[in-house]
Amino acid sequence: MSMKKRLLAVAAVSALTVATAVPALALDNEFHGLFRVRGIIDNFNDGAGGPVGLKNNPGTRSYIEQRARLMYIAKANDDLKLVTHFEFDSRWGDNSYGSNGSTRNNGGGIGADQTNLETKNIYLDFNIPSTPVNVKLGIQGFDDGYKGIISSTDAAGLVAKAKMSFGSLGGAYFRFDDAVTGTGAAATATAPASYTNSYVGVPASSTTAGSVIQNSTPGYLTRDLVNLNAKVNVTKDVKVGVDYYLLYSDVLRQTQNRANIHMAGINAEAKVGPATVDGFVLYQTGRLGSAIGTDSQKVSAFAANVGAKVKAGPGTLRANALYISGNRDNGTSTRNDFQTILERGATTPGHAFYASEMQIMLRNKYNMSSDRAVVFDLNNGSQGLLGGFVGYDLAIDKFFMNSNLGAAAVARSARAGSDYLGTELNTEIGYKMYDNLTTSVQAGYMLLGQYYKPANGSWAENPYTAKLQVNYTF
Amino acid sequence: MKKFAVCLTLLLLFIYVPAGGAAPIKAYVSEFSVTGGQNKDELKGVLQTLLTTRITSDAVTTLDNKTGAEVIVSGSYLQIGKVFSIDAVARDVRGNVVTRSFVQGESQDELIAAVGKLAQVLAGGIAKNYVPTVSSQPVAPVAGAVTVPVVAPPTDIVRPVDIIKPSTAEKAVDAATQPDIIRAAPVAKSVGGGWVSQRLTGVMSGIALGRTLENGEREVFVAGNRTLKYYQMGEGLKLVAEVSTSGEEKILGVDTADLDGDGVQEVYLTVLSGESLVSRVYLADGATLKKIADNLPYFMRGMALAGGKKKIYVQQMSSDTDFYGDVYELVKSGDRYEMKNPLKLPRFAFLYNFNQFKDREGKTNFVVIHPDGYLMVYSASRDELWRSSDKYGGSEVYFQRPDLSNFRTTGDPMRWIFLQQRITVTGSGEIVVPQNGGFWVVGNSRSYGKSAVVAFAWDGSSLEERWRTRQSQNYLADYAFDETRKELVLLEAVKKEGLLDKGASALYIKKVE
Repeated sequence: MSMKKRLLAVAAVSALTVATAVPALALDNEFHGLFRVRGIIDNFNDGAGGPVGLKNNPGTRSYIEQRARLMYIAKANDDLKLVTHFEFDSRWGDNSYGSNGSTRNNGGGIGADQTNLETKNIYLDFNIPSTPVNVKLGIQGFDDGYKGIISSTDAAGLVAKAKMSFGSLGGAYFRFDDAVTGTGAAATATAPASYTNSYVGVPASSTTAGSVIQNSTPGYLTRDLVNLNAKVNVTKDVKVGVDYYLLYSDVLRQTQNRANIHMAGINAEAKVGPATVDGFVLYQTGRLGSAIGTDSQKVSAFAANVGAKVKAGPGTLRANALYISGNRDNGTSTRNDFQTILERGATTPGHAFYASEMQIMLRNKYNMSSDRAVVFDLNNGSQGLLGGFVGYDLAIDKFFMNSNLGAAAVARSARAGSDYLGTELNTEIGYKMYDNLTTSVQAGYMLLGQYYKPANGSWAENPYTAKLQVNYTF
Repeated sequence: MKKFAVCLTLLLLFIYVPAGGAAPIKAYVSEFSVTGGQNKDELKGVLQTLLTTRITSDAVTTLDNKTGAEVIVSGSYLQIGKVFSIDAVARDVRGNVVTRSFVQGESQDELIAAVGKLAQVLAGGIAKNYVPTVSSQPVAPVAGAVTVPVVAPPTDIVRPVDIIKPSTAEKAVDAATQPDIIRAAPVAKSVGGGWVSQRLTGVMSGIALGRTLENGEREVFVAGNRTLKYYQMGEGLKLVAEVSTSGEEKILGVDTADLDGDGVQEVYLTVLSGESLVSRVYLADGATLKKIADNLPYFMRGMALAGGKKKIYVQQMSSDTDFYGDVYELVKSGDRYEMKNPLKLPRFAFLYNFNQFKDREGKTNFVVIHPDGYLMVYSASRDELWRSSDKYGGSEVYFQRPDLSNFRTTGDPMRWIFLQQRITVTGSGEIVVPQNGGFWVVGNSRSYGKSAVVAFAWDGSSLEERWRTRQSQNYLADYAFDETRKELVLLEAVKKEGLLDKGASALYIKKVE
């Protein structure tokens, strides 16, 4: 064997040794996951997301969809780990072999083989040595301290949090969009439709409808979110948090001014006797890029919530009230409707209010690809929302039941007539087959309010839903 | 022809010399038994080490363990006043005495020299008298002849063979080679007084021992998710009383301690109702379980920190923190219970995964089971000193709390919080830790399928394994260590809970010495 071959052999053996030895010594592996199947029968879902198009004779839809998620965490040591999270969605019978030209939310058709892997999260989670600071860097989930009405989505960014003796201090930065579209015909051809719509939550009305942005420079047209927060543990059972948010967007600055929405919020939670009470107040100010007036409008809006839960009998009684301010006339220089965050269009919101536990009126936490609701975006077409929700949770051994009643109205509307959106009654009855596997039946019915009274003709049909769900998590 | 004869002779010599040249006899020095004198435990290891290093000669070489040894040397040390005697015997693998000798001295100053002298005599005797065994295969017993067992009877406790600090259990097998295959004896017949209870319906999660009654029976309290059972343990388990929880209440643990000093141990039951701790205290009066305290907002665990007196320690739960603040000692003042004497824990520690032990200098260290299962040792100043390579602990007991803010990621409206196996520190400083293992232990899905209990001792730098129980094919839910009787009382799930099956549990007793 020549010297060169020996060196190659030694190098190969060394590389193999390192490759096999290092992971075993250095990494701890952690896995989590989810598998959920839902059989759906209703008259308003169609396997997609967005607001419900209420109509007189919607027909009944029945279909089955499933979701799998796999999370792998590679722990290098106690202070450093890489978190990866992937998702596979499909509707039974939808498509296979990529034959519909789409990848995500597919693969349930006969033959199945489909490239449908979605990246949900990939981020580094580490502690800065000799400090109390933890950092999460990369594509990650970000849920605000306001029950999700600002942000309940995944995005690329940085979150830092320092544990302090009094509670915590934190900050976050997220880049929601970096709009590189190309120019000329290329921009028209490649720009998503949503680029011509809202970037701060109000579809069309705040933008120059139909305009196409053109950009070839990364970082030039962006939408960003900045957060600073502090949390104080007043006592073991009393906590107060304060936040500042800046929602900034210059994606549409080729046609209108930048949007700068400043938000100041305070949230609190306290245990009072057998009850736990929580709530928040959020105020928005700043300017919204708009095609109205001098290409921007002043914003003055707010949102508030109060919630409580208390042990009652064998179960727990829950209650939540939510107010989202609305606006009567979007053509004036000041907007009073609470600006929400959409992802890239009106069918993918970046926020929610899952605490309501509604199944039809508002987005439900179990929704997957089928994600429609009567009030899908809490901005609610600039009308805002005033809602009250009560529920009762009962769990006896392996059986559980959650029942909810909710009623809502628009906060402010230019429409004549009633603001009352309707009343929803829903329930979920389930059984824990195993510790990690639950099966449940969910059913909901919404009685439409006078808001939907037609000027003439027939009323829209009251929406209903019935679902059989199997949910496995580990 | 001459050339051929010379070549043949040289060839035969070449073959004969290595074949006939006497290879060193492989010897193993087992642990000494020590009677009288001070520092008995240390002396066992020291004498073994001294003799191991000194017996080595051209004719005798020493091994680190019994495997492959041709001669096994065992010895005893006896001290009366200042005078000592060291007696040793060397046996072959069949148990035949090869040689024996003794030395004695007037004081400890002569100890090392005496061991050297003894080693010299033994080495000479071994070299002179040892007859190699023709075959390493076990010899079939001859009819009518007295048979010497080759394989030592298995015990419940397995002690590692180690030059530095071996243990006394080696004596039981010092006349035999270490078998490649360890055959399990029926538990009821195993050396050390193994005992197994009748099968108990349901997968139980916690166990605690009460007092020993006048008739010799012991009180045993066994908890399941929603039930507390009061047994008296004699030849079997006799159910005396039972209480159940209601609604969504879940029992997380059971412990006993005599906090009021009346000689009767109270039963401390940690109960979670929804998001509130509603723990309670019972008193066993021989026939019933009488509730003497209710709605205590604590997680509770009985521990003898650093092998001291067993007390109940508690930790609270806050609205967003599962184990909030420091661990406190629970103190009974009249009919009331109060938290006193806070204990600040090191990183990763919470009520259910730590204990303390004292090192040789009397400093109090922490031993903690890391969330990933590693055994960790922290100094009194909470600095990490050591962590294991293997994983220990592992519990299927958990509770859940609503966690809607992480629902989008987890897909589960509840957060899972697992408890951890108790760490016991004995009066002699041994650290007893369970070790559950299994195939399907991923994320929040835990289904352990085998277990053992392992004891360690701190050597100043790391935890050194002293003994372990033979591996069980069951999940160990909980255990209690009866220090007085030197017994491990193990609560094992012998059948997992199924869709329509509550599963089953059993109690095992294993003698440590």
